[in-house]
Amino acid sequence: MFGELIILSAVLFAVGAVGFLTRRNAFVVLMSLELMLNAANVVFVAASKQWGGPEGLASVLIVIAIAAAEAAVALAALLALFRVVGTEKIDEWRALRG
Amino acid sequence: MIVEWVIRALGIIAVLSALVAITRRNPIYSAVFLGLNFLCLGGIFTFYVSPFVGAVQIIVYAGAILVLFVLAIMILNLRDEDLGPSRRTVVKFFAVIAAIGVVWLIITITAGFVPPGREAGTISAAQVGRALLEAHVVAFEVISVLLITAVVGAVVLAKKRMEV
Amino acid sequence: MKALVLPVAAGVFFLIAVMLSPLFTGRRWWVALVYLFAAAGVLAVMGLTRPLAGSHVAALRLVDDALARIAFIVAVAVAGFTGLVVADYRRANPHASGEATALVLASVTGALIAAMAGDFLLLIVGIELASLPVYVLTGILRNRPRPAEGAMKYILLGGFATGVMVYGSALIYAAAGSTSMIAAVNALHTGASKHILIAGLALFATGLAFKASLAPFHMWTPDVYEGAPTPYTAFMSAVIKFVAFAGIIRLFAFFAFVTELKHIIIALAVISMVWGNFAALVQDNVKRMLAYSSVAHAGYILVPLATGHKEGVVAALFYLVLYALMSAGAFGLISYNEGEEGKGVTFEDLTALGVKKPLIGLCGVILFFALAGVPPTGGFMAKFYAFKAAVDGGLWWLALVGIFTSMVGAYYYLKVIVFMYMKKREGTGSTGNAKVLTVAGVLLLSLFVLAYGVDPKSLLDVVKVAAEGALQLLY
Repeated sequence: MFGELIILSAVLFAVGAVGFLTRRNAFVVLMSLELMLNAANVVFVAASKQWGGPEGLASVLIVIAIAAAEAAVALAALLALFRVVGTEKIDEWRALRG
Repeated sequence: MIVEWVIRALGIIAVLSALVAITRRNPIYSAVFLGLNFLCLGGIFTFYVSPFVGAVQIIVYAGAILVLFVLAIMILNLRDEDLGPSRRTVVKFFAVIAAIGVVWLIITITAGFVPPGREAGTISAAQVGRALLEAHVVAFEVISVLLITAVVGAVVLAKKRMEV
Repeated sequence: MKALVLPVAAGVFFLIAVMLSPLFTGRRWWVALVYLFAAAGVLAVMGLTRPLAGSHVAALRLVDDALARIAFIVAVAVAGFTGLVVADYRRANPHASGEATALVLASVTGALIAAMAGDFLLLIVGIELASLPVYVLTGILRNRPRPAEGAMKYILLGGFATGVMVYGSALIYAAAGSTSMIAAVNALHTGASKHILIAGLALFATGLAFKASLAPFHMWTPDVYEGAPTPYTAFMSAVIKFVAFAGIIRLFAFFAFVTELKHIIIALAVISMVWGNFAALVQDNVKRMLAYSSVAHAGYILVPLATGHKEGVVAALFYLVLYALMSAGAFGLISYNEGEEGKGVTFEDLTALGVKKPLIGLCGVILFFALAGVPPTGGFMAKFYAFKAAVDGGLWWLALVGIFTSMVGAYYYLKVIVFMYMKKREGTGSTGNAKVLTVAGVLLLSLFVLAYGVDPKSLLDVVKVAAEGALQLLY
């Protein structure tokens, strides 16, 4: 079971990373970040059972808090940016170009 | 035995819903399938080791973070993504290749490894709380500062009018 | 224990005090004063508590050593400097003062936590607390396209780095049964789960490389440095980089076990030095140029670390402190010339600045000579120690790459000085109002940069203790 859960987490992490790298919609990119953090949570939970200790589960709670804090700020920044440039497509943000 | 198969089924649904979530054009559909993913993971956590952490996963992720996403999408009143030709096909190709590589790598290095500890049955909320206040006490305290900072930051960024 | 808790408590106290401050007053002098008091108070607390060489507080998973102290002193000093520069910057670019100050202090608190962390998850939380306020500060002029876009890009890439680090720490937990660094070291010794541990450490290091803007993980750097209001660019270029490298130095203790990672460090160093310097050559915008140069400097800092010796860590820390001072000073100087956000930041805009304002011109000469690595500034000594450590460690060709790329880099730094002393046309920057506080801050940093060049030993002694403490984690 442990090995299968690690595979699940690896797949979720990879799906999140692909979503992050390929999508243009900032909302979906942010959701992909949440997927990546969730993948880590799966590892924490699976390993916590095998090690027979609750530390990994406590880690899950901390990771969830990090994800919540980040999502709040990210969505606020996205609202602010949308008011200025009027699009949520990443490749249509053109104020900063080299 | 049945529990194991339930967990496997939930895991498959989780992967599928994640795949659907990152491929939808309309972000609202992505959010819905992401919610399904969170629910499945919450179920896995519940059946595998800790109902408490499973509940927290569902309450915070599906209940709070996802609602925040949906709220923001609704505020902006987005349309579907334009169907125009995507210029990122090359990126997509390499991203998928790299992702398969990462999965393969993680699976190979973890193959056959089982942590040498004593496998636990169900871990109770009390034990989790104890770990939070013993092993991770500093992180726990700092998280409170992080959350208030996030609140202040979100207000600073998103409030319509700001007296300077 | 008191020694550990007091600085953090002081940071949080000032954070809350400043958050409440707009309720009572909105004067810019007041805000600057609060910064100074906060800095002085926290420095006093740090001074009162005796420096410990590498003592472990295992129960709390904190490390209280010289590295943490140096990181904190640098963060507080740069925050104080930022407060001075912001006070002037706000006149042309009004923004929420109390909140901005509180966010800077929150970031400093996070920097301290990250520098003291003896636990991978705590390190992530600390870095997150250091970065999250900086995301917001980047976009604090939220009605303008550049800051808003810079903030969003920073959040996306910073979030990706956090995700990678969290996954890395999860793998470390799976392998070691705990996220504490001591447990990870023990697990490495026993060796049963070595590969998983190395994979976790590598993912963690990748996340830190994002935060330290090492090439090829630097793609956010130019956009964010250009988009952020210049005083906050000064802050992030110094503090976030310092924190990320403090984390890398903590991980460095593990790399000694894993010699394969040496090649990756060398590769990152070479790519950063070459890419950063050549990309900086073609920029018109000085902020963007400094952003690419910060990628290059991250590469220089990695050069001595690639040797894997204690001397390398000493040289890297020396460079890191100097870089924080130089970079913050250089962005402060740009902020002096900048009027409204984004106006007065190109090379042309700096024309004749040194002629019109001799004092700020002198600071500019010191800071940009230091960034280029010209003696007798501290920047030269930093590069000297870094490359010397590489040669001593047998990596003479890496030192050669460093010397060659810094000669390329000298071109664009000296270009700034040339523009500052050209008399032909008037610069378009707004140097109309005095900006006394900015001048004071930039002058102070320039003097430090010069002093450490003339007398490098004073800093070197401190840094040596820090390096010893950081490496003690292993044994």
